[in-house]
Amino acid sequence: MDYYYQSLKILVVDDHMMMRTMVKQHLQSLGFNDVETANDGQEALDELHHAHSIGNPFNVVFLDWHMPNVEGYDVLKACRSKNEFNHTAFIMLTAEQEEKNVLKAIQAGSTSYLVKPVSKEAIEKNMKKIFEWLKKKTSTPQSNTK
Amino acid sequence: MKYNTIPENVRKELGPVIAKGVKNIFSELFQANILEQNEVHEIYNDQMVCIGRLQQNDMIIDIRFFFGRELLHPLLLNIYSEDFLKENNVYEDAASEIVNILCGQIKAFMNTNGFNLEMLSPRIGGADEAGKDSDAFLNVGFSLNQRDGFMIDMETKPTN
Repeated sequence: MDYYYQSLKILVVDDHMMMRTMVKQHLQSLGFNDVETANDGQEALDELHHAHSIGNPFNVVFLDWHMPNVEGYDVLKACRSKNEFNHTAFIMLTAEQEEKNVLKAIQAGSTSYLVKPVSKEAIEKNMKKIFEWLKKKTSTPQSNTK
Repeated sequence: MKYNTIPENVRKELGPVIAKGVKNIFSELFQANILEQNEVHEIYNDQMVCIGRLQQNDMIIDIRFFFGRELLHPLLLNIYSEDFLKENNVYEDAASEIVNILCGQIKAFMNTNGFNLEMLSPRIGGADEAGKDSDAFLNVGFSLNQRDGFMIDMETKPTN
């Protein structure tokens, strides 16, 4: 279990270098070594599609909401409209904390929602929940319908 | 002329909301102890300002974070190497994220009090953009580890 948990492939998407670096460092200190970063929503979409096309998809995506080019919310909607990301967990990690936006993200298919600033402990707690979600997902056959 | 359409009862609560938010941000991100100061921090020429903007149909609110590199330097050394700090725009990036998070907290507070504000991306300016002559209606001073001071202020304007 530990091997699989810590071998999760993770993408951290944020237009602020400090947040990308901090979240990556927190994850690495928790034992996750396969962590990549993207600077904005478009780069995230490119990375997600590329990883899927080579058969090595991301398991977990940390997604900021407000970013240049393509916003995190739009990345979430675009990915949830495709079967290929059914087994990918999306965690919104954002300064947006109004209830209406949390609901909007959950309705769009966000697996979890974290409000900045976030501690390493909060990330660890969330990753354990995400792991349970992924285990349930992988035990469920993937749908063939869009 | 000062433009201010924020009701008195909401304005009174904004100072505590900012103080709580700033302490929470520095504590969670950097494990740093921030204290609120009574006196308004003086703005020096070598300081920077990071400006976050909240906006709705009839009003703009600018939230400004005045800081010096020496405030953020020891905190950022927990994340980056000394060499990396010299070569990259890390101070500006960090200040933008701090303001971004604070603006999210202020927006949530304001919108639960009847506003309909949206948040714009923060930008970096020079210390000459504001200070003593500004129309700020709120100034909150802070110090880090009882040493380096910094200030947050807020100003409202009508939209054009």
